[in-house]
Amino acid sequence: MLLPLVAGVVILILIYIGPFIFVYARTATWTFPTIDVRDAGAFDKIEPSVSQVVNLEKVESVGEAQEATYSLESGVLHRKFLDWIGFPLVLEVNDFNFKATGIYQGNIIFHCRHFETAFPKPTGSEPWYIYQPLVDRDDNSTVNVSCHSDVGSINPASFTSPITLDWSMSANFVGDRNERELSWSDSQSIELRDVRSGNQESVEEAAAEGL
Amino acid sequence: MKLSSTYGDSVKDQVTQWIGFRGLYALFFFTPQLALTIHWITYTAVPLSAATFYATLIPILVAFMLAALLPGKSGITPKTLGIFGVWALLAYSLYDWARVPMNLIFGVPFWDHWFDWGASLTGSTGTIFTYQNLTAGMMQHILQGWGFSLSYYLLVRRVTFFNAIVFASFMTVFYWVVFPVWVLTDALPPFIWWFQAWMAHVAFAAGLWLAPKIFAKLYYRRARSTETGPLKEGETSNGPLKEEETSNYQRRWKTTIFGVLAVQAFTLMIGFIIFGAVVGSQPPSTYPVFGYGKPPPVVIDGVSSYYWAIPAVVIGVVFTYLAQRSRQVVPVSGLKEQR
Repeated sequence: MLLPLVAGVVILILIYIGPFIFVYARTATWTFPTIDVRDAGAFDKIEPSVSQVVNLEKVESVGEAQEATYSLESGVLHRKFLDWIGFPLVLEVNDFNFKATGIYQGNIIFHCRHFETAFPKPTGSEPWYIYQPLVDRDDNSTVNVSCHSDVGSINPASFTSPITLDWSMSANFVGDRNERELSWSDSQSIELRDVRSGNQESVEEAAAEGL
Repeated sequence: MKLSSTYGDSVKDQVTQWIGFRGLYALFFFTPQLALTIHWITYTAVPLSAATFYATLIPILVAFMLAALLPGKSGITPKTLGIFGVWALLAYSLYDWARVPMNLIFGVPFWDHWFDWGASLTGSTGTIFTYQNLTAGMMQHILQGWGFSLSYYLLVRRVTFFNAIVFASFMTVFYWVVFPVWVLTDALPPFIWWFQAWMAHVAFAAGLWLAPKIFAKLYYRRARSTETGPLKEGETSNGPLKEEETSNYQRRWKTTIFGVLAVQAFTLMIGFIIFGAVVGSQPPSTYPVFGYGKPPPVVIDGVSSYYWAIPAVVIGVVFTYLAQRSRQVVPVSGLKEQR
């Protein structure tokens, strides 16, 4: 008489807790491993971005010297990724650090330094029709980096050959449950564009025309 | 004359009980879902922790206090709440069991939101994908299923498969509306998601119907007492119903089957209409959510899902007619013979 009762109670308990045991087991064997794989894939896909054009914004006198201000765009590409259920997300980017040096004929002509606490990203609480465009918008994120010359004797308008930009950047990337510190450095040729008072001409072209 | 007067009074009492007390108690135990709905429709601006405290914990405490303070009129006492509370454990378990094979076969997860809920409940920072958040979210899920089941047992005077299906159909429609509209990750869910929602709620209905029977077998047969034991067939928490009160509930199995099929058809009709509205209101998804990324197959080129509601209505009307035709109000004693 007691045995069927005990068996019944045991079966009932198994019915109650069975689905939740399944959830924990699947979380350990499917959810978390899938998330880890997706996160790793997203980290590997990230690329740095540094603009090929540096804008000469202004040249102003500071005491007896001249100081030039430049700007360039820098950031990261391909933040978008699909999470464990195929839902689109963007990687969180924190502590973005960018440093660069512009070199012309062996001389340093400007320095750039930029720190961004966090790049914008959707919160995940937006309605779907708002969320989707935000994900696309934040796939590639760049910031405008301001650079300054510390060599007042060089006239930026006289540069005739390509300028080399030595740069490095680093940031902390956060996925669904993993984070990774990524850093890059490179050297590349850039075009200097004089954008003072609406002038969109390349400095090199202008200098060549002057010659 | 006397009989009809008595019956009239009985109906009046039932209505009074239902609106005044049973309906009120059912609302109190619906509140776990209310908290979650507040969290959703505010797009998570109201944390689930606050919503659960104010919109669930306090109402449920009030319900237990009222049950102790106001016994008699509604027939709801702390003891009946306890009995219903034990019965209510089964329905949501079967609901989750029904979703297990859908995960294994089609890869549709059913615990993805539990992480969000857990994070909102605990206020944890950083990644939401932790076992702590999963556990907290799971508790919230259990509370919702348990609350819904308790609401059902409080609402009905007698547990039947038909009224369990009607209640579960209400839950299905509620689910179909709330998730795609307010819960971000289920925007434009694939057909399998809609099917799973329906199927799991049918399992929920089966749980609602089976629980009193199982507990009656496990416990009640050993030492039955009309004073303290769980309810048996034909009894309510007010005590045994008189024959004239119960005769309406004695259905043939044919009537039940036809009635259940009619309810399912009308639920499907609502589903098609809601689905058409949801799909029509959302921009096309460019992302393969749940790995499918396609509208459900009920949307065929040139044929809106609204049109699919028409055959559902026809089927519903046919089964309603069949249910009505097979329905005969017979004395309880005669019913057993007919069966």
